[in-house]
Amino acid sequence: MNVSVSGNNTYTEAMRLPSPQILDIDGIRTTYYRAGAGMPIVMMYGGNFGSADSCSSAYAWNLNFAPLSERFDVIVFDKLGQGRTDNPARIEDYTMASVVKHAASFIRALNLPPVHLVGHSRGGYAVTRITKEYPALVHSLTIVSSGTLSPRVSPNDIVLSRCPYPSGTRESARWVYERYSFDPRIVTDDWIDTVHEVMSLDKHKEAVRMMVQENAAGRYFLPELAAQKRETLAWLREGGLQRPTQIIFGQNDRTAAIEGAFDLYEMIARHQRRTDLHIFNQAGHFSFREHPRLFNSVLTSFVKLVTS
Amino acid sequence: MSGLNSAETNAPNGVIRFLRGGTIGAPSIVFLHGGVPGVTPYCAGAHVWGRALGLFLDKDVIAFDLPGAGGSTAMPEKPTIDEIGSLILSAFDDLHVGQCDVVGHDFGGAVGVWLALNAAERLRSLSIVASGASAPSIGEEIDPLQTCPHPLWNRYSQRWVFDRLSYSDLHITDDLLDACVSGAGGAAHEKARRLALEEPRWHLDSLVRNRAKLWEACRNGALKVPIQLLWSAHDPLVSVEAGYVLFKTIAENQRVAHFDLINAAGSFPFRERPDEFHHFISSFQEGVAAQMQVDGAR
Repeated sequence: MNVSVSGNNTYTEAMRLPSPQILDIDGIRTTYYRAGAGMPIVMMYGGNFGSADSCSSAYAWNLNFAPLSERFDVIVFDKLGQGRTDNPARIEDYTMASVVKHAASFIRALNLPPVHLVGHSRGGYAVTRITKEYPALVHSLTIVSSGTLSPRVSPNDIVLSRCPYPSGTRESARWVYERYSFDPRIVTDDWIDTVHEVMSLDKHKEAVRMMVQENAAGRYFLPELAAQKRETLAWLREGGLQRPTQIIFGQNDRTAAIEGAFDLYEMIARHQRRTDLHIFNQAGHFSFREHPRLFNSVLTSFVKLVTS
Repeated sequence: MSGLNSAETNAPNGVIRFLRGGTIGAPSIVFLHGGVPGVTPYCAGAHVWGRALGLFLDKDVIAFDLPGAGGSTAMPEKPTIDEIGSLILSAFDDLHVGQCDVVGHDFGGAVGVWLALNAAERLRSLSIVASGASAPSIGEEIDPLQTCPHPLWNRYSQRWVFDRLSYSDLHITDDLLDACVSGAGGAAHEKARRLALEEPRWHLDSLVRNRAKLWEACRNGALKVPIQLLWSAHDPLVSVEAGYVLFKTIAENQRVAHFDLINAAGSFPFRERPDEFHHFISSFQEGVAAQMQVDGAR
């Protein structure tokens, strides 16, 4: 009777993204993937530039992209300095504010009607910030497992500190993603291959150098993020978020505590009637990879509901 | 209700009435309403689902009047959850209901739990909606209905109950109150009320036993049905915390467990937010169905 993980067939679907497209956004060559027709869904993955042990890219959404594009105009893109999108031009642009500005400019350049934004982890913070700064671009918001946005203490660094493998290797990436996950079997070879390809790019190594050796993290990224996060949470508490919102967290996420999901829900739902909370069982940080069918079903239904 | 027809099936000591409609040949979705027949101070029945039922007509929709409610006169002499669950299960057979999705509200959620524990192979999934009857409690809650106006079950009293239990009163329509008042005058309610007077604790004892069996099954990994808990953010009868604790208990040993919270709704989210209710229920059921297709194993 139980819906079980039978063999590995839940996790070995190596769905490919379509051929990449390139758009120049204020001098930043921006890589994105697009398919389908209908209401636009724009998805932002997590992480940030210059991460030494692992790195996210648009491929993080590969289990969601094709199924969702059967109904919607789905766009996933590499954020500023991540994946195959150019790095920031100046060290002082290694900030979340620059990431948000670039993402908003990218969405605007596509000349879309208000989009359904989906953001995971740091991407969940970014989509919320886009909604604050550029509300005209946004129809609805889906925030997935965002410890960055959560008002709770983040155990992220505790869980992922002192990776036992050399930075930039397959082993380090696997170690990181397995610790993010409830079931390590979701960390498939094709995922690690893609992560390793990106980690091997010169531009990624340069971003690591900027964040670590040049300390862009300590000089710019973290202080700016802290200040803007305080401002963003105050804005949420005051009812600034005026778009239908759903929050999706994994029950077994070691890095984004579930209490933060309830806190965010209470902040937003107090002012925004159309606020949903979903908690997936046996799901870590990547619920959309551990339970892609359920995630796709929930997102599809939400987008249909809030546009009906 | 448009697209749904009222019918009955015979059972010992009476009939079980139900609404049925939708798409022939599609998967069945069974709705079990809340409220303990003859005890809860509003007269429930299939009618309480309101327009929410009409949103599921792409499926084979079956909404029962539980024994002792609405038009279901088949009230066992000892109306325990076991007896009520058995009657509903027999009705599944009579109506040729195959493996189905079950949606149970409050007391109906407890009946759904009984079905999951005793006839798991008949359920594709179980959605437990705002069900204090299934959840643990803090133990010091104030009964929000303790000052319910008497006489019970007249129009004013039932309106007061719906008003107390709701986030918004917009769903408390004349249609709802007409059906509840009509239920109060029916033979099924009279039978249930008489039994409750003779043995006032039957439902409480039975619910406590049913909950204990659920928690034991959760501990032992014996709950084999995918479970959704759909809770309301403003339910005066059961807290969000209680729902989440129940979710964690179920989630320990049941991979497919899902906790959902619907905003701006009290004890009747399907009446107060029918479109959102449909979104939550159908997205869960469709996600489970898609996953089962891939897994190919239950």
